[in-house]
Amino acid sequence: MSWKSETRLSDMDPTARMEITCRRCGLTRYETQAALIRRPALRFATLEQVEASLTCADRWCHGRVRLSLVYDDLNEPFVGGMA
Amino acid sequence: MRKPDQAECLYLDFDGFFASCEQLAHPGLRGKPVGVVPYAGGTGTCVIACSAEAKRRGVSSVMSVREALRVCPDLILQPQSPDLYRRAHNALLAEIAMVLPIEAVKSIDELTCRLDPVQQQNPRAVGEAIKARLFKLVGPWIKCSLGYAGNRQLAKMACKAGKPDGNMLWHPADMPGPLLGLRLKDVPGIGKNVLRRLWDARIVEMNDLLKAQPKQLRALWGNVTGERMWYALHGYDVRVPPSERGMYGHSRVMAPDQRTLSAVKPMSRLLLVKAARRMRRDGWSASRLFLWLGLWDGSWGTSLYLPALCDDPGILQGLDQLWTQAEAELPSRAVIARMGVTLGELSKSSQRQMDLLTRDEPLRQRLEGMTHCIDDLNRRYGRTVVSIGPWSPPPGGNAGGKISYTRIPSAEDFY
Repeated sequence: MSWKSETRLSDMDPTARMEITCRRCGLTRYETQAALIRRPALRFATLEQVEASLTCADRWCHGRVRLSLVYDDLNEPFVGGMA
Repeated sequence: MRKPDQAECLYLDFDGFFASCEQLAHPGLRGKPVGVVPYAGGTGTCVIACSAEAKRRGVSSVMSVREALRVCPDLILQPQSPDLYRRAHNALLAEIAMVLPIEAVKSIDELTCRLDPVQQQNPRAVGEAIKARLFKLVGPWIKCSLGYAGNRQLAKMACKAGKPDGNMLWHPADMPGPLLGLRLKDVPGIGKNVLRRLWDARIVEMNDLLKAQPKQLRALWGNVTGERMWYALHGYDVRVPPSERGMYGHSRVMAPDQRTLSAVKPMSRLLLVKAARRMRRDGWSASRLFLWLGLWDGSWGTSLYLPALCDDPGILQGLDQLWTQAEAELPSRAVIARMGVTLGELSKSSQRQMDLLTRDEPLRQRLEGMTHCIDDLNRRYGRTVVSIGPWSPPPGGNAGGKISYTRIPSAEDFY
């Protein structure tokens, strides 16, 4: 049990960005929920199943990938040193 | 301004984050004193983070490597891995978000959440749930401290007071009791300069600070932060408005054997391209380019007007002009220890005002189209496969991908 098995792709925000990194060659690409949910096989999938169904985008690699969520939109710097 | 009567804010800070990530990724380091250093083999540098085992032996962050090895001879020096910390940050945040929604990410190892009315009745239980989840799914190597209070500032201070592995509640009903035992310099936002000004105004203890008036602190700080600090320390729910993006830039301390003009110039070029990529990704254009060189005895810097550019050829042309000026004004054997490039005076690319006099609209459109194609190719292949001119990353890597307090790099920054 982890966040990947507890989260469904359909529960996420359409603009949510996911970072997909190849475990073999390290190639990283980004996908949004809106782009992935268009695939019929992923419509009701958990993120664990999404991760298992994706492969590296490099045409010579096609290795297994690691999926992670990106939280860039939540970044909020310290202003005047205050939290 | 509202004064909460319950602990509404949770603040989480990972303990020794960089060193813990290294111990998680490298089982051989677990249970041993580890010091994270900027690059391998350097003894003239400092420890940027250390493990709990190293802290127990007297090592602290920002301690010189020589001093750290003196107090702990068996300290293991581990070169930093910014990409590992970035990936760990994303994975840990995903696990925490399963317990409660994250309100804001303050830095790579700090975040804050808002507790709902039910959670406010027993905030520590939320912390225990987070800790239990991280222990079960990540392991015992990454630990965090949590603080709860009526606002973020007090929650952060509670979090710090409970370190390491803390779960500290500062209930609004108990305030200002827990604050009175703290020193002024323990308050986030009180640095050396502010501390001196406070002392000059005979504010030397926390009690003096709490008795001061909001406008007095505003005058001492010289800006609104002082007033915000007063309200925060008195338990009000102060919300600091997010700051606007003002510039994109990178700086780098040059390796001892690369401190000549000819070695620094290509590095400034590489860092400027990385900064320009980030700027384009966020949809901005720059109207000013800054070059700053930290010399052995002083510094040199200048800037150049740009007609709201975001394409690499135009920006690099500007950098060439700045370097022509630098080479003319600096001695040929100048020792450059540090260098920085910054793109400033930003305007949204979709709303920028084109320069009426240069009349280079067709050229700019063509160059911008080409630059966007290059960005797409690099993004597609996950590395810099196409660049304008030579692309030679420095020894040790991590150019443009370092972790700073205000910015968590994305994978694209490491291309």
